[in-house]
Amino acid sequence: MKSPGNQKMTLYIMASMVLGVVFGLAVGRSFDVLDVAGQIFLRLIQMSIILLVMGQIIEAIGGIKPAESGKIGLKTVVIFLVSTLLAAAFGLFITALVQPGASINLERIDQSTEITAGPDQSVYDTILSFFTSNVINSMANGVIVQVIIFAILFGFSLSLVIQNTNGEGTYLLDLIREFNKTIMTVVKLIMRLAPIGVFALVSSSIGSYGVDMILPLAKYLGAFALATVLFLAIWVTVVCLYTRVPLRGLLNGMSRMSMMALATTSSAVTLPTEMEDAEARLGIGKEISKIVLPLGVSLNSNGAAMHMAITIYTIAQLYGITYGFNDYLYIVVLATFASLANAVVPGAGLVSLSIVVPQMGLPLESIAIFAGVEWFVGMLRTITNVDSDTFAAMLVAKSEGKLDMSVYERAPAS
Amino acid sequence: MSQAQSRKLPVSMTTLIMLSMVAGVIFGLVFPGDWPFLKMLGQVFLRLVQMSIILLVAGQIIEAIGGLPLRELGKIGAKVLVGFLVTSTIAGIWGVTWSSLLKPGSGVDIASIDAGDAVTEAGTLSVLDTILSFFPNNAIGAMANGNIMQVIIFALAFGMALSLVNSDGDLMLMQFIREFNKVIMQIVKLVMKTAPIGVFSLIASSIGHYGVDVIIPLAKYLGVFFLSTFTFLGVFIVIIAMFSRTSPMRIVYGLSRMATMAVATGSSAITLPTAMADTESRLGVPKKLTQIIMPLGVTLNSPGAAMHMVITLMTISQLYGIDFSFDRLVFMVVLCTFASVANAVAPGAGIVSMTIVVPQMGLPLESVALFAGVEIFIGMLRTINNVSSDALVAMLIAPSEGGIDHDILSGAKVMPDPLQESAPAA
Repeated sequence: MKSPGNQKMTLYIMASMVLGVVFGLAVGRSFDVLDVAGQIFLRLIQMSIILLVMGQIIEAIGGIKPAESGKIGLKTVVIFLVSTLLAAAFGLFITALVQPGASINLERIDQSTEITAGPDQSVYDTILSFFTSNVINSMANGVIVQVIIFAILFGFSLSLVIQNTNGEGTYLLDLIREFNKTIMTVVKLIMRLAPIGVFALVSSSIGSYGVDMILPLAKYLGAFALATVLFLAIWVTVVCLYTRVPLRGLLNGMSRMSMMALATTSSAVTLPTEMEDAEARLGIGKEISKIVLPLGVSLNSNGAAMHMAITIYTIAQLYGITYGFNDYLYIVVLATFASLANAVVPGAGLVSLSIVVPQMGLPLESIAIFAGVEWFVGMLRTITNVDSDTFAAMLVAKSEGKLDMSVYERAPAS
Repeated sequence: MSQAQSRKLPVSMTTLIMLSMVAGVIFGLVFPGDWPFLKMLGQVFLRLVQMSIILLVAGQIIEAIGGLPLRELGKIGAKVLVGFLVTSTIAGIWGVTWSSLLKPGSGVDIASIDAGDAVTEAGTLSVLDTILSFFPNNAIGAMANGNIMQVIIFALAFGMALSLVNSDGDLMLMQFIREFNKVIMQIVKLVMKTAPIGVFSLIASSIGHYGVDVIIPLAKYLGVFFLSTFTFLGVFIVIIAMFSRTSPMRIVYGLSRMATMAVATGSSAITLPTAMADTESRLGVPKKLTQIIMPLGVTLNSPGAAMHMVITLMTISQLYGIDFSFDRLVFMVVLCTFASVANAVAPGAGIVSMTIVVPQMGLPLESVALFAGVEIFIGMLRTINNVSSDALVAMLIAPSEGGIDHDILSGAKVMPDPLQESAPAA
């Protein structure tokens, strides 16, 4: 899926951000035309989000063959879900410690928008709010979590229908695949405008807030990097303790796919390497890796969930908003579910943010500044996504007795 | 199928609608007063037309754009699209100008009580905000709120993407959308069968309520539409004549047969073969261009529809005594230009167009009833403009893509009529 123009585009976006910063500093104010141009760009990304998320999730889940995966599938999905939830929660924890957005305080431009999960709500109300009484209504109002829950059920039912009726229902699945391709092309077309859009957004926000905006960005990247490293360290510890594989062997086995993830920023491109190393260097049985790893590309995106949680919290800090327990819960669930619709498009980070930021009642313009560091964000997201897939596969393999320990005895020699 | 219907009925649907309008006027005059039942009946008819509008517009545009071979069209395609867009926009501005000058809707002031909700809509937005408001932040939300302009923008983007994805072969999705559109069109056709009842009810109740005065602007309105259409085409022809260094009369000759056909059929789709033949054999546009431009024009270029919508909106606003601010006028012209792309080939296309745009401008939908009665004339004026502009845009583009055959255009070389060719050969 990864086109060669992809890397060039991230470069253009970064360049246009630098230009935007320079322009904003030189002029020192914001222009209505640029402001509107930036907002049009954001709206163009946003307009397809509901359809994109819905289609992606239905396709990912609808394509699973329940009979084949069975018990392994269930274990896998549970591990995916728990690890993604933990990744999001861990991201929030680190952000609360580092406080990347606390050094400056932006005024909330739009005071009228309410924060979705208000402080008065009980936990039960928050949980209840994940469920919709009318799916078309949720789509029209853009309530992503409700749409995702429907899409998961629809996708699961679709896979059951396909299984029970011997292939009937594949017409619908094919139709959804084509629909998704089309929506993805819409997003790709719009992403060609990203350099202009990012320039417009960055220059007008730097123009009105000044260079102070840059500082939180550096801290934000630091926090994200710290969270990623610590989270992966925790994963490694858990895997070592549970599977009893030697630490050196594990790190050695993980190294190549991690490098690949950093270099390509795409978990889909990394998949073949990952499959090979999972078997040859980590000793995961082929029958396990064959199911877990490809599923992980679409369903397990610890990095994406962490990215969204950290960014939401940073933006909230920038605007001086304090969250209560319910809000944290909501963010964690939102980021986890939204990570399921982890689209393989250029500017995937930007797309994710435009999914979740409005859900929290935060101004969408605030994501502009983060668009400039898309490339670093992409590296951090992908390494966590890829590594956690493999870790999950190791846990499943161990519990199924399909972990070949002999590969580790040879490992130091190689 | 439509032929089978017309054979069964002694009179055509448009005639029937006109008769029902006359009946409605007589009823309203003989029995003045409020007729809640008739009013309800008329509103049910309008709602039935309206309910599919979003799906109709989105589907039509996705099919029209998605079916274009965007990759192959390349440079010619871009030129043609720009030509179409500019023509429709100018037609819209032209309509605004004439209807502001001649004010067909002023004179009678329909009870300003009804205008209550309309006035609030016409708040002051800057032009930039107006432009921003064209773009949706949620396609489904735009559909649910019936924001046509935003739905059109999404449909254009989706259609473009579809044509890129579809370039490898015939996509199931494309087929699906075609079938879906056929079904929606069938709904509109079914609903339109009740048009005589609907129009009668609407006219009878509004004449009963307001009196015969509301008829007067209708005559003025048709006059303005007529004037606007022919001055627009006249200026367009003179410009093309100067541009291609020929006499305007030669162009008028070249357009005459397709224009007659357009008036007679009220359908640009049926006129297409004639339009293609004459653009080539009388106006000297190379065949490779007419083959691309003319069929595209049927769906994408409808200056007549844009002008019709603009003039009708202006007339209705004048009837209700509403003055549109500059940014509302900009919005209106853009809205009508884009809405004209979804120019459905359905009976009662004029009524359908109006149900698309009237609510968007915050005007009461019942007001379209009056205009439904003169649908037949509206159809003629719309179609003659739509068809002729396609040919004129082709002439505008031809010089930069291989040139116009001036021998054909000047009449020095007479081409055999492609429409007659097959008959003698057989």
